[in-house]
Amino acid sequence: MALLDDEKKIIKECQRGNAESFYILLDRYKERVYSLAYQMIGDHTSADDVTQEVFIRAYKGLPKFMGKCSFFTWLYRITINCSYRYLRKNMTFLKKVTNEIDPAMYLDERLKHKFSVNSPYKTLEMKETMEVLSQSIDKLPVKHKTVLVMFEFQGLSIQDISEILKTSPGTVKSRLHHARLKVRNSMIDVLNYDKNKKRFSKKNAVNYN
Amino acid sequence: MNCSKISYCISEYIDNRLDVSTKRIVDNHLKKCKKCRSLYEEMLELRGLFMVKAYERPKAEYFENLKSNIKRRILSCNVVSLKDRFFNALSTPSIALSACLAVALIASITVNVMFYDKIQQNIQTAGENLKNNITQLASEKSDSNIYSNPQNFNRNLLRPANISGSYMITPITVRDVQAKRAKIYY
Repeated sequence: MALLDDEKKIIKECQRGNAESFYILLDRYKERVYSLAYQMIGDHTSADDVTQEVFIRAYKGLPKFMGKCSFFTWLYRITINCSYRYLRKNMTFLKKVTNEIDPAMYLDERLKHKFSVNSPYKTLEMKETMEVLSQSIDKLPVKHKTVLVMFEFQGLSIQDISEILKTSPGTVKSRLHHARLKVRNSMIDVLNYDKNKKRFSKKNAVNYN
Repeated sequence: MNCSKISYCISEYIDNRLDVSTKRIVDNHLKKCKKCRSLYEEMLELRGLFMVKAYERPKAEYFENLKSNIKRRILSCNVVSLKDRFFNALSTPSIALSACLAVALIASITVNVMFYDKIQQNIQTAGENLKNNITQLASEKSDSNIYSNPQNFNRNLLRPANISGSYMITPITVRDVQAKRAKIYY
């Protein structure tokens, strides 16, 4: 991914010592960095800390930024490194916290409307599945989790991920596959629940008929 | 292709990253193999769940606090503390050199002030010694043939203290000895 022309100007101004132009970059990327940190760590206050740390590091390290990769790749790399460090430091603390968080709390309004179909039972079911999903993602090894989060939730391409993690695209693909397999294995009950239910209802229907 | 290879391809198949020929192979396999088909269906369902989870967005109020916090921290980064500024200034060579010279000057002044009496005393004694020396030399000069006498050979080797307070070793000219050496240094 090449450096955008617009960003080139902004970064040059930042390197001259103009803090105001850094706020433009901050506005542009804060949501993505925050959501990546949140998905990596699974706790809002921690994600807040990590995001602050990331931008401070970026601001301090901007004079060293050569422009070989895009700013966004560079920022994501910092985010990943920061969240690794945070996870390593606060391993015991996070184990207690992550289970208490309600994962479907910030679901988009449109999506809520789409999935709930105005029935409270279905929203509850959705919430439960999301909870199981986030738990099984938390259980993944960090490398697999990183790739999964970046590909599925951040919508990055394989090429970008391999640039951010400094690995080959083949490695990224295999990690993604293994991560999916692991999540599927730990969620197999939930995934088959719908099918079983359908079968059950079909049987019932047959019986009734 | 066996099932384990197909299972890897399923992941690619879902993401639409396979070329046409492999896609056809996987399609054919999925029709036959029940196990792989169930895996494929589960993967698809999982992908749907991932898409739902990708919509999770933190509230906007989070970002308000975030931005103000980051701004504050950046501003505090820009304000360099007095201690840092002092040591940063010291790292430039011209300032460092002048600082060294200033320290040396201050040290010499303090030594002079503190040991003023002792230094004065030393200078006075040195002056007296010099005076004595000069008078002695003047008295000895009248005795012109003094060095030619072997009895007086070592007489004036060690002279009394000069200004530096130590004994100086002086060259002696030897005239009467047959050896060709003109000077002997002790």
